[in-house]
Amino acid sequence: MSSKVTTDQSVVLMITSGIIAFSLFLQYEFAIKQALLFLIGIGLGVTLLHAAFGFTGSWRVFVRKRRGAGVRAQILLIALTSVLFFPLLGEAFPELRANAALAPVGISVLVGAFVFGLGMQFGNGCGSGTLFTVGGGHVRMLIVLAFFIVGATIGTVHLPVWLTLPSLGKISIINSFGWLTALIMQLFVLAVLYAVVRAIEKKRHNDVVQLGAPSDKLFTERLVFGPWTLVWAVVAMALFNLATLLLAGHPWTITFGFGLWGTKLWAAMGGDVSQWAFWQTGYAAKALNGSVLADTTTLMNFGIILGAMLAAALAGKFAPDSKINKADLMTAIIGGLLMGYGARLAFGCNIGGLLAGISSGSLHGWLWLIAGFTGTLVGVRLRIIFKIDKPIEA
Amino acid sequence: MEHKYNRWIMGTAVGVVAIAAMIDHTRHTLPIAQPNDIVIIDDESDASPCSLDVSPCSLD
Repeated sequence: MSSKVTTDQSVVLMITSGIIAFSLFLQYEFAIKQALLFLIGIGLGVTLLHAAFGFTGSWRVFVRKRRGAGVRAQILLIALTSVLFFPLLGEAFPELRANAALAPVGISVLVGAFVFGLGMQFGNGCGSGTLFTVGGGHVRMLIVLAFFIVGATIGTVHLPVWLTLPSLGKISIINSFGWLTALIMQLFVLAVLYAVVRAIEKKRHNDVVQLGAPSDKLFTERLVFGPWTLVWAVVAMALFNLATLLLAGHPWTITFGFGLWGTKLWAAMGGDVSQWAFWQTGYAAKALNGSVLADTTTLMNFGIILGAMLAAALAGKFAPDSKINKADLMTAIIGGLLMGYGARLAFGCNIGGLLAGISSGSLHGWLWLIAGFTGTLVGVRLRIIFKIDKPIEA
Repeated sequence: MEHKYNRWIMGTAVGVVAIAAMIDHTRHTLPIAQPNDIVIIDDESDASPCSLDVSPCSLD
């Protein structure tokens, strides 16, 4: 028997009107491309919230309880996105050109991803997780987001110094081996990783949680009101990411927008950003000197938040009851700062660094995964030491 | 009661961000409208998927 969903109709109406109005505004003020990128963000927000697709919780559950459904879904997402991205980035279709998320394999990524992995366990949300939980109306996550922005802004000030530390430079396995060989190699490694995660879960529990949990709800009912299966989320996110690559010319990324917002805000308050080297050249300079609405990451971030708001209202889950105590406040501030700073050093969060990096064939994405997961291991341990979580049961 | 309080906080946050974004947007010069009798050759290069000179995910 399916449980009845109490849709928050007033919020649905307001958000839907807002989405339509803002899309039309973007189309009028810029071009259809900006409106479409915003709508892709809406789609991602709905997907993330309806499937509760997060990295933080699933990594912690895997570390603590050896349950790996979320982690396996993430591996599938990386694999499917790679299948879609590699031919495009390897110029199998020369008429379609796009930029890979290439970044140097160095100390900056190593430290940044570790700090991010640690911070996400305190913040209780990653890059995408913070956005969709804010959209879901979780007030504590607003605090995380605010300090995420502060951390990312400080990160843009310090990044040039970090980049003077040792680095192997940008390494693309697509450029090194050709897109087909590189894709086969990558899928093989991901398959091994998937098998290892599955084996660990099976060993501990003698069973494995399925990614496509059955439901007695109608397909359309589930599609609109949720919850979605992780498999639906994987397919939707990979397709939205492909659409982003084709439209924006780069993979889905989140945290550049946070640094941009913080820097613009600092400048608006009278701060001098003319000495911040990060903002003096390339896309960053263009973004800082233009309208915030011209930045693709900003549009998509706004879309994710509004899309998650819409999904939460449809599911009757918008702005749940919550009280924020002193510990919540402290972990939100620390987590947000660490994630923001770490993401800038690591050339992105779990989306722009990990997912986009690996799916673009950039070796820095793999380094991100190792360092970020190590940071999470430490973060899970610290949560126990600070009595946020109970000790892990054997 | 708590539920409604949280909704007000979220609504206020969305409103503040919308105002801030609009202030930022209007601080930048918008293109001047061209008279109708001028033939405009629209440069499509800026609307192509590869129009970004550098990707925001790999800034260095």
